[in-house]
Amino acid sequence: MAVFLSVLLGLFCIGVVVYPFFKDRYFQNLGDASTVPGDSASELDNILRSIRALQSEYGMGNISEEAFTRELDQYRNDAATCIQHMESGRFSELETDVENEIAIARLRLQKSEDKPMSEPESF
Amino acid sequence: MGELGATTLWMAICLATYSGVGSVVGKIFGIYALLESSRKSVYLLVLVLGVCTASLVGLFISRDFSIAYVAGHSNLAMDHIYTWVAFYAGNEGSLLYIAFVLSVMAALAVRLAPSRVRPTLPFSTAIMMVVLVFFLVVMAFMANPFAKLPITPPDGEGINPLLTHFGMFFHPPALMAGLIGITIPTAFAIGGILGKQTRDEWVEIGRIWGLVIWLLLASGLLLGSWWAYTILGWGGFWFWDPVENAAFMPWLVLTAFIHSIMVQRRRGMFRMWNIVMINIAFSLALYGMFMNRGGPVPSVHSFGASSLGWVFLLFLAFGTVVPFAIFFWRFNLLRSARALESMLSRESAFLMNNLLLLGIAFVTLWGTVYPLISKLITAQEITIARPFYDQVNGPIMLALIMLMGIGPLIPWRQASASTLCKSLMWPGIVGFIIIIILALMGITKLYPLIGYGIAGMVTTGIIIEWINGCRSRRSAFRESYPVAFARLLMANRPRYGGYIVHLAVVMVLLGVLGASFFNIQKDVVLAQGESVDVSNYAVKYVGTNVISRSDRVSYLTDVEVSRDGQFFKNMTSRRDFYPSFNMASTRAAIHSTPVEDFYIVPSENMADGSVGIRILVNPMIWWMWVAGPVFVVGTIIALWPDRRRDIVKTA
Repeated sequence: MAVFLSVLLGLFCIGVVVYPFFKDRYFQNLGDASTVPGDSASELDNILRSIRALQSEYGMGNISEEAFTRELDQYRNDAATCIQHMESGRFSELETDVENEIAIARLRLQKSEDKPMSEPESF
Repeated sequence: MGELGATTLWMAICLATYSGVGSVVGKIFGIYALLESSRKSVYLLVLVLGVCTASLVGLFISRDFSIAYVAGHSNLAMDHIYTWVAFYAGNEGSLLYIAFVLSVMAALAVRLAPSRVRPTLPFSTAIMMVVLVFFLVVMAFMANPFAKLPITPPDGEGINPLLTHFGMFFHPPALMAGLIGITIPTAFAIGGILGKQTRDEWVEIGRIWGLVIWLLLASGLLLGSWWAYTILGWGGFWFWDPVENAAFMPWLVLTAFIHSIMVQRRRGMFRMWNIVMINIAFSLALYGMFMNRGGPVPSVHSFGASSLGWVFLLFLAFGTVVPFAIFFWRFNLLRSARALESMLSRESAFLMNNLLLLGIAFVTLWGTVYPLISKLITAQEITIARPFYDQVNGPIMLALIMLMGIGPLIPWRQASASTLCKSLMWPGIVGFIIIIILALMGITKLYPLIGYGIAGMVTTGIIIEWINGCRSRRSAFRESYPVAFARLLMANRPRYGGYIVHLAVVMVLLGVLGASFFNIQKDVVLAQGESVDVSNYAVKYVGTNVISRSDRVSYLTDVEVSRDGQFFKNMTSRRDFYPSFNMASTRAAIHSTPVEDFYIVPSENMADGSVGIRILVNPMIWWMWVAGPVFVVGTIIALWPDRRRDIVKTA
């Protein structure tokens, strides 16, 4: 029984491990460390949390009005910069997504026609 | 079943090695299929090690004494409920438990990793797998839980009597999980550096795992103290035992980390500092595991004599040098986004908090390793006892708790002295009044006076913060006080969850001060019918029932307790003697209230029918045990994720 279970488990593990090598090959963006999706969104979340905390501190009287106004303006500037980055990043992400879809469609077409094609350009 | 366990152990080694190597190769050469296959191997490890663990548990349940580990840690007389404890009672089983927990944590970490860290996740995965492979290989070659005995004995040796306690169901698993769990935030930190993610991508995942591991360690430490209090029979809860210290030190550094990571999260500062913190925590965690297994310093905790010491020492060296080498390699890329703007700011308060915590950790480390150093240098082992730790760490801890009360009142970036004084006025007044009242009551010891004053100051500061926050919401949103209270909590969970944890720290302080400075202890030998007075209690020895069981002899000692001249209650304490272990374990009779614990534990039953008894009155120690659930609640609130619309709503 132990041998049977061991063999079963071993075969299952081998199957799971090798399966990705036999799946349809899609082009996958492995992600560059410098172009992390959602980076700006997280930064914006942090700025919004900071603004909320600042409002809370002001409401409780822990900071003066002058300090509150100064810091709120600074956070708003940071948020505006962040939103600007997000907008420009979203556009380039859309381009990448469209090009990925084209590459996937080409691969599928290649398989169905079984014709040699040139490799898609790397992005 | 033993064969299944042994086979799955080797399977796990192969899978973990493949996953670690495949992650790095796949990332460097851009082989997506290899990356995905390596990731799936991480998930498979949970299944394989789960089967391995289940095999060992099954062997215990079936009492298969052909397996050396089972024979060494159980017997026919052992209650089945202790099977779980027996599983990790020894070196081999605890290593398997650690490996299984690490596989579960690694799988969760990989599965739930946010998109920000996905580009460097392969490096983080590889680091987790390196640690896992180490434990698996040590098990396979040096401490195999499935090793067989040449001859199957008719019965096992039984479980260590000290482990047959409710606390043992949670204390060792929590501590071991906590120590090995430090691998996860370390892996994300170092993996991020390796992948050149040198900004704040790993902060959120590092904060979450840091908090989870911190809670595991805190729970383990508190439960261990409770276990020591109820079973070891000396009436204390913390001995500065080397292995206690070895779990305490990473917890201290992790406490520093979960505070300083908030600064990086909010302000993009302390980037290098946080990497250093998590590296130190990881090194201390490995040191803790070395102490537990290497046996360089004897302890009630260590797994007896072990030959694994050198192996763990080498891995400790590797686990310290390599992360720091990677840190220094990418040092220049880790510049913080902003600089410290003012010494009177929350950022500098967090920095001071970190320095104080590191100070306590360093003092504890020095006291722990000094016997080894003295033996190496002078050939004479000089042990460091409790007074050293109390006298050196005590003031630092009081300063830290005072900072805990002041820090949250200081705003980010810059505080004005006048606003800060206004915030501290009422907490300071309350703390001062408490000191005056206690002094008038006749308390002259300096530490408790200052300690209770600080406790009052911190509690008042937290309550004022809550009240001000509720008032602010009421005027802004027209909410009732209960609704304002609940929404205040939900609006800033890390902050208010942190306040709840701070309250728990104050509760621990109350217990420690009371039990350490105001306890009364009496060790007496009483003949049957004889009485002794302790404080306002009178204890009369009624008699002892002796019950012989197959593996032990139990002595149940009955006493009649009077308080202020009136009958109070009958109390029964127990002492079990295990002939096969030549060891006794005790169960103290404890009457526990928020004001004081009345504690009786037998030490020895004499041949003439008299009994040696230790009687203790421990003021306020109840608060320390109740602090445990409060820690849990506060940490869960701090961990609860913000919904994005909650963040946007009020900003």
